[in-house]
Amino acid sequence: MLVDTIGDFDIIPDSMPAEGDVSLTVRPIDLIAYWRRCGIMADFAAAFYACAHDQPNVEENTISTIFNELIENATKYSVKRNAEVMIHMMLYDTVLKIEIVNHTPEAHFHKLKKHLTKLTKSADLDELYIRTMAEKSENATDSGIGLLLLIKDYKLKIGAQFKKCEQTGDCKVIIQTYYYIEQ
Amino acid sequence: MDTLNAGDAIITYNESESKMVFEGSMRLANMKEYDVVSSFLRKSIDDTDDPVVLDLRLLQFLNSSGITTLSLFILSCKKAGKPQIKVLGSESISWQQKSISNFKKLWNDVEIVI
Ligand SMILES: Nc1ncnc2c1ncn2[C@@H]1O[C@H](COP(=O)(O)OP(=O)(O)OP(=O)(O)O)[C@@H](O)[C@H]1O
Ligand SMILES: [Mg+2]
Repeated sequence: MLVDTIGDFDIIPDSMPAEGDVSLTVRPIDLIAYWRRCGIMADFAAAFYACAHDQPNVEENTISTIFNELIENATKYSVKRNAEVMIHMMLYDTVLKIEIVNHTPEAHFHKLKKHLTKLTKSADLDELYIRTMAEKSENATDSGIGLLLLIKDYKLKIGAQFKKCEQTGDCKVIIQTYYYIEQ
Repeated sequence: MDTLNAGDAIITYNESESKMVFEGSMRLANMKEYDVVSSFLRKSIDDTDDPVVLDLRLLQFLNSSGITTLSLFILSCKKAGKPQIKVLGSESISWQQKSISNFKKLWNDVEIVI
């Protein structure tokens, strides 16, 4: 197994006891079949946590947005439509950790690694957003700013672990995000 | 009054006010799905020289592909030099509070009222 870790991975280890510890498993096929289920799952996750905070409306919108971007990606970039996507959400006082695991084709495995490395090294994400949009205005087949906006506008900390099995060629990505709830 | 249904969102263009009102939650799957939205925006403002208002105050959610769609619309107006764009946002909807200022970064002439 080849393992590669980048960004803010395991800054809160799994062994730490959490309040509001929720695990969900879903198959991409069920979300592809009815795309708005991505948003429904995101809204559920948001409502679950937001009811415990002072600014429920603001936090609910934020958590739903973050979750939605992650679940949309796991759905779009999963290798097999029936392969499971695992989501694990943990609340630590004012930090919400969302971990999402999916299996992906090798092309996206490398694309994500390259993209996250670029994002974590970039000194000016506004400039990167402006440049990305200028490039897309020539030829926009994809969007490509989901993770960028989460880091830039939501101050999300993101880390990822990339696992490739040499025997089977199976590529697995574990993405972790940490959102610091505004006080 | 022209209307477009886009997923769980409705976009209404009021020609007499040059105002595009977005309502609901717009989270389409990819750029291809957003083509109808881009075409609707472009078609609606095609022969207007008046400033156009994008009223997002009732838009609860917009995913990143949707932000790209609006961003590219703004860049196309910038390229054409018209129309002027004013964006109305809501402070109490956090995606707007956090991300709406991006539109001005693309074109400094964009006016944002939040
Ligand atoms: N869960 C994932 N599994 C595999 N690859 C991923 C995953 N999430 C993202 N990627 C890769 O990283 C790229 C960037 O993702 P990002 O969410 O920033 O943009 P996008 O999904 O292409 O477009 P947008 O989110 O703006 O609609 C994707 O195009 C994909 O190649
Ligand atoms: Mg995405």
